[in-house]
Amino acid sequence: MTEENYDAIVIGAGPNGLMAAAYLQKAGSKVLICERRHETGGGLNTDEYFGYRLNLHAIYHLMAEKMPAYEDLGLKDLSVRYIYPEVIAAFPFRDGSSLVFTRDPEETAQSIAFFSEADADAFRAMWTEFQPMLDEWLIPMTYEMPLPAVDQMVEFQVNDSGNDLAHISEMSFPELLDHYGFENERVRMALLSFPAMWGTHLDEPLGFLFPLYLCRMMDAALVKGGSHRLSSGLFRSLLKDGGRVIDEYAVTDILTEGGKAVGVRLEDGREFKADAVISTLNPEQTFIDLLPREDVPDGLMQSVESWEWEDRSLYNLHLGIDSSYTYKAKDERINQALITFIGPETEQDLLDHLDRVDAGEDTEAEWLHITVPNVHDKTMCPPGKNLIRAEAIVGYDPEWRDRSKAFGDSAIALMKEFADFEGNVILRREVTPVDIEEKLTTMKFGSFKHGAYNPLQMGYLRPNDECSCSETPIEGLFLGGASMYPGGMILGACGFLAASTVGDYLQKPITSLKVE
Amino acid sequence: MKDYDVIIIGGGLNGLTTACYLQKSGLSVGVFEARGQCGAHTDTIELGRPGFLHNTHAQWLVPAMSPAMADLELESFGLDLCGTDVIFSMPHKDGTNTVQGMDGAITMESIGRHSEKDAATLAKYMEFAAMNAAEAMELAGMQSFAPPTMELAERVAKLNHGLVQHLGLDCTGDDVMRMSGYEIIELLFESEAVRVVPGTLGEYTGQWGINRRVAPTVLGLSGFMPMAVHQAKGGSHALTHSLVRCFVHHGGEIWTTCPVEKILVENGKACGIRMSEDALLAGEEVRAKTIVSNITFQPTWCNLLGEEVVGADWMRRAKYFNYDDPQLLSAFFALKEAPTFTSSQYDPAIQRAWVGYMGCDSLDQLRNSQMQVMTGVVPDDAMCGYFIPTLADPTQAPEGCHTLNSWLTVPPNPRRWRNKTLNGWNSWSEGLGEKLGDDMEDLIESMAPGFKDSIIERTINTPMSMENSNPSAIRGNMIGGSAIPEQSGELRPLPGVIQEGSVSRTYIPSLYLSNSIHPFGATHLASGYLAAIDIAEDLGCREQTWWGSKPFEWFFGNMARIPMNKGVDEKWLKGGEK
Repeated sequence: MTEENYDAIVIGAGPNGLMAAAYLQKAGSKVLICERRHETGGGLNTDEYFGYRLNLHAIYHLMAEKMPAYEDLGLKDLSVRYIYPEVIAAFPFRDGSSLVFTRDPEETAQSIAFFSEADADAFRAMWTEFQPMLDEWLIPMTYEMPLPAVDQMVEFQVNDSGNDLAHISEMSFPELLDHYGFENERVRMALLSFPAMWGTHLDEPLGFLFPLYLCRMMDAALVKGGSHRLSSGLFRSLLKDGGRVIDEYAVTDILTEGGKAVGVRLEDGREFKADAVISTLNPEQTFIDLLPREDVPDGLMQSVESWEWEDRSLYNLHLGIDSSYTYKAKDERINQALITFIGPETEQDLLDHLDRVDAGEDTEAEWLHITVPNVHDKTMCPPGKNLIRAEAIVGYDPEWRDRSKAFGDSAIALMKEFADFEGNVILRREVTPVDIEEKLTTMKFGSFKHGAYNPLQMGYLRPNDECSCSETPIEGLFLGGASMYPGGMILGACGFLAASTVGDYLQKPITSLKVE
Repeated sequence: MKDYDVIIIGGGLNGLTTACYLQKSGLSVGVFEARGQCGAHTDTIELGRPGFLHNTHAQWLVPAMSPAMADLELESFGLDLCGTDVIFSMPHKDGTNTVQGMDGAITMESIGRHSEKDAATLAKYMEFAAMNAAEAMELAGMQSFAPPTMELAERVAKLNHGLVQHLGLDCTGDDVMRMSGYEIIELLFESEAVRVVPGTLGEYTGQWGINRRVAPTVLGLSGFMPMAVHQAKGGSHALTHSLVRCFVHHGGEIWTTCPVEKILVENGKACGIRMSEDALLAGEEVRAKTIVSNITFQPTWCNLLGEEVVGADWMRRAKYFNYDDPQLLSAFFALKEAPTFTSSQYDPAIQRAWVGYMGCDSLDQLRNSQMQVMTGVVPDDAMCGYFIPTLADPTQAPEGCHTLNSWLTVPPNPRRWRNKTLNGWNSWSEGLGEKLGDDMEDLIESMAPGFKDSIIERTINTPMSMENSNPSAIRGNMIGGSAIPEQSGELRPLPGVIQEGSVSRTYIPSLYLSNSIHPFGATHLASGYLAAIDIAEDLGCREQTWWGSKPFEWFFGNMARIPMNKGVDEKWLKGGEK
């Protein structure tokens, strides 16, 4: 039973799917988006849990108003507003001292100077060098198609910042800190925390990510009212322009005719046809689960089968308490921080901790990234209460739930070393890697970026050299999710790039939106 | 910030219904919602394990009876209703049960097993209903979807008079209008197992049999008629979703995370709103010709208007508006399998009911419980309503698994439970909910052995957490203020608030209510529908070609194709029922 025809069908209504759909619909295509779950938004999930708004997955937005969609889709007027805390990251230590990173690099340098004047100068120099790398390369590149590594290296040579970026791009993160001359073990621990908190392996040669992780983190934002407001804004943009959403029905097949993708079949048997099909799912789902085997070229299938999942995932403990929550550190700015990192005191502590994570020996919480969202947005919980989100990098284990409670208890114990809070726990919710993969099935093994960040799965190679620019070897089939360049983490990029490609393919280019 | 024709404060179901009708009629409408998402009382949340959807407030969805279903084309905006063919069931302690089916033969058979006399009464009732079907249906619709007028009351009294005469009861139609629910039940039926069905059903809408003037409603329920009660594929929130999609599709604008602090009143006339400092549009003012408050009466009068607008007398009356009669204490279970009731050996039809009530075997028991709740006591006898929405919509749990929500009526400020002194409202933050949850677990286990072993996890929702979810639902009140006689019908919310000849138009020019007004909050979208009529008439846009569906029209036109029993195990189905 075939129903209406569309110009484009998007599979998966996470942030990238919604963005691709909203852009295409606004540019004049007729779009259908299909979602398996009962609500759209994917990892942009905020549960309104008896007055507490729990950001169960994504919380920090690194590109916020820098993503083109913010202006192009008029998200500001669709209840998407960002909050930019002044104090971004705080690292309290057991001796009462602390490192504080704020939006102001000089203020941050002064905090570093308490531990090392030399490192403060190194930070100033590195920050200064990073700015043109970001403005001229890294931020624009996020929203442009990737180039093969060799071509990219050639392109970097056109200016100084490009050369600087090329120089650091294949360093590991500790090497990069050596390169800029950082010496203090606490400062190095703090700086390494920014890439490590996203599950990357510090010894991978991914140095080009460091300026993004550091400087974009210093511009991190929360969505007012919770992360889901962003997906809700995208959703309403799509509806307002006449797009159609079918949720609650999983796509079971991508339909093909003569090797060309022509539509989708849903679990209830309904079939929808379209000129273009965009999958925001992971490569295994797209190419193995949904497509007929004979339509996937062998070479592509080989690269899909060798896709590597992230081996580090996240554990989150959400607590609602009826008392105050105050850090013991002397610097009171910590209580205003977006993220407070507790646990490791030195670079070696952090590296040892991550080794234990990889060896499956982290039976207790050792390193937590804590956010109290109601400090920045009072709508996040009832008056007089506090909502605490404590996140840990953990390995995947199919039996995670069996140790979830004990791990949560150990997280509370670790928090109590650094913060005073005695009140009743009114709400407690744990989200383990198993919960992540069961809820968001694209995130196999809790792989929240849809696949590992390693040099063979980044840039032009994400997910492989045939598909990183959204087009695939299968005509009419496009990728648009986090397993594509540039990756996950609510950059607003993959869906945008898919919309650019598909808009051109359908001859309803999204660049037309700029003219208005 | 631009101006709107109409501003709706609060994106709950009724606010959205008003918003959809007016936006679709060509007005520009802005909805301002304090929470992150609309539809507080139709939340559907994964409370724990992914894939287990819990409808944390309304389970019992009745939009099928609403004109909005067709007028607003809610189906095309993704609302897929579903149900079970057995619509209500009560397992009893003695191993029997009473069931009510969409098919009257199922009901008649169940009642006949308890009492031949009651079955004969019901047969006569059904005979009368068939003879007066058109009038009965029109009046049932008008009771929710038309203003409470003298003419309507007289027609109801007349119809009820005909009914009680036909049944040979020793009372008149006028008597029925004045009776409590229990009085009419005792006149009608002899079997306690039959009596308790209409006796408990009123609890589902907050209309208690113990109250006077509830008898006409209870008499209606005593006919055991097919009910337009459903779940929605994907959970109750799908109803909110369909309204949101309809509204946005027609160009409406929703501002979420925008708690409103004040309704602006100039020269005595409502003309705009001001957001709180915590809002997304912090402190901003927005203007409109018409302001609709879809938050409940007390916060609208005491906070949004305030003494400077309404004066001291109204402040006093609004402050003590009654929210305090029965509230719900709910437990949400994720289950490995659906419960198997012992009484399925007596009548297996119980296994096909997604709605039921247990622990109540006589009207006296129910009366005593309600008396206790009314006076601040948690009932001695554990009795609870239950929903198993996954029997209607299996997609609300992982394959083969189920969810169950049980609830009991409690006083919001409990002072005593089984000789233990309680701490009133604060009892809810001191673990009383968990204890009552344990009690409900024991009761369900006694009716369906093996239930406890099937529990994967449990979450309790207290009146306090209800109020946290939706601060306008004071004390967790689910229907916009207690459904007591002095806050009902033309008196609602309080005499003098609403202009004569209207349901929603307040004495403050340009200010309308779509909550705390006639009839009561429920998922039939009636208050929002009635407010839309008043406003559209006042703004001159009532005449719309699409705006004309009658109550129950969609239901009777479509009931045959609503999927039934999709989550009921094959072994409980006779051929062809799935």
